[in-house]
Amino acid sequence: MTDDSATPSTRVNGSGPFFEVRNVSKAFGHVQALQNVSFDLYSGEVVALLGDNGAGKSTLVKILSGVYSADEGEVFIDGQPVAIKTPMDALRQGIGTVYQDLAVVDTLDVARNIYLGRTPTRFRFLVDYQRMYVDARKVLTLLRVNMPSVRTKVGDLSGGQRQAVAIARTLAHEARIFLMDEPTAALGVAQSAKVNELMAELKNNGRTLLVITHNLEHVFAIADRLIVLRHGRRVAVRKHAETNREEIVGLITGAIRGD
Amino acid sequence: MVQSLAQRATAIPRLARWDLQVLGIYTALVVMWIALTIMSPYFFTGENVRSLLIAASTLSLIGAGLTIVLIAGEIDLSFAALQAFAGSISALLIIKSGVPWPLGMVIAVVAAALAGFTSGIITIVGRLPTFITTLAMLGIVQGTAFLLTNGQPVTGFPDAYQFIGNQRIGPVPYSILVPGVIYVLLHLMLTRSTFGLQIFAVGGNKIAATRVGLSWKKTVVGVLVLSAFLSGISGIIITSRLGAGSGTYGADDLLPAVAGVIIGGTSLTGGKGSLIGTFGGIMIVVTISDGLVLLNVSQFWQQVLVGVIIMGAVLIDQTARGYLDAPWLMALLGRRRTAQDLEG
Repeated sequence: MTDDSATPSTRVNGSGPFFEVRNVSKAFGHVQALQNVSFDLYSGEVVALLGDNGAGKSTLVKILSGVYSADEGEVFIDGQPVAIKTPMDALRQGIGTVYQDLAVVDTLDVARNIYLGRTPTRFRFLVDYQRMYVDARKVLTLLRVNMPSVRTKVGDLSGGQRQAVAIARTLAHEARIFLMDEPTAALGVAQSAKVNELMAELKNNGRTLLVITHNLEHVFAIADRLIVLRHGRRVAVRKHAETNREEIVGLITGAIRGD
Repeated sequence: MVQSLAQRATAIPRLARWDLQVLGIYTALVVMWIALTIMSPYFFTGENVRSLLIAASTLSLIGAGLTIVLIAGEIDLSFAALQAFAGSISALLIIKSGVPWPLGMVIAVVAAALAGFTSGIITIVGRLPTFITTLAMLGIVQGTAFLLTNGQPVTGFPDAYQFIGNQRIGPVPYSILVPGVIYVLLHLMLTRSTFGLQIFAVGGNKIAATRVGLSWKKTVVGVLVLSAFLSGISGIIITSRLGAGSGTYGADDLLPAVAGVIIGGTSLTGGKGSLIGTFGGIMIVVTISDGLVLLNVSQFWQQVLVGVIIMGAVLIDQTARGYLDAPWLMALLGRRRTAQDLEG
């Protein structure tokens, strides 16, 4: 099921992958963080990116989100090669990142945070606040999020609600792919469950999620497929139904050799 | 979503802390006015109220500049000196060099704005705090103002130049009307425009703003140019009112303007502030200063008192943001404890 050929798929629609990563490598000095990593993403799937500390997960996500640039390798969207040099490039290509530190502005309200950087305007220089509030409510409804009010300052929200705002913003930026680095790391049990529901809603809306997580229970609850990195190499891609916890742990630790 | 009681308590939507703080400022102002009207028969006369508003007008302009800079998470220390700088350039060009007065005015304002632009560029190129770059600019423009005027007031502006400072429409002097109109425009810019929102976003969280494509560099340069531009206009109005340019005119406004802005509820850490609050704060400072004169209290006490008020206002701000644990003050401010306070 994995397609490691160096040429991208030419299929634009239909059942083929719409997002393809080919032979991405990245070194920091003498440390080879990533080596020839390739994988595909399909519309509306949740893919978990797994690996031990230092396996290269965060580096890979940072390359896709435009924080780092790859030394080698290419990214194709709908069969077209794309250049991702800055976070804004990534966002314009439909790759949204939900950062671990959330990057919300505590002093602004929920609606302003959701439309940060993508404000609806009138006459180009005036903010259309009326539309912003209506649209913000729509985005939250789509995600089935309860929020006291879209006028609440984000600094007054709980951790789970702040996570929801960060996810809603990525959705408002019309991202197709959501890169999520440990989305539940800072959250309690109930709030983590809520974030899982949010991820399911995103999937139902046809969005693709690439999720870094350490929590295997979380992985098996949400992921359609699992990608395992070890020492900067992609050692395995597994479908949820065709693997189990023992195999994945073995792949992560190196007890089981990869493909 | 599961909500704790604490979270639900923060769900009161419309009347935010900000509004309560502004309400507090204007309540304090009204109380002061009533007290002074009782204590001095001269206080609530047309003449005195007009002179209060004239004093507040230019202070509000530079206060507005400082407010906007602070909301962006930066600081401007050069704005008071830039008034003297613009006034001196204007006097030199128009009186000494015979440049037509409208042109001299424009050049002086542009020169001030360029000084702000320079501070901004050096800030972003050198990755320096604006505290340093604008402090350096304070020295440069203050020194230049004294050099240009030889430390003496330069008099002899044409009558036409002095109309802003001395003429009125009905009961309203131009020196109140012009800053008033600019002030309203600035308020709309801050609350309605995309640039205004960008200033709040960058000041609130620079990293978050940058990640969605809002440039902090443009914001820093923009607010410093705007602040310097306002100082330039204010400097022109002062010279027009006094009929002279001098290296000292406006240079002493640093303390009262900072005091007004801080009293007005603008946070020193960025992301929070309003021009409605700043105007109230400036009016409080001007009223104190006027009231002390009417009550025959020494000028020097004014400075001490203003300094004490700054300290008090900053302490209130710290408490409001939860950095100081003073429950009685919190209750006074009408602030509810948030989920974050309880978690942190």
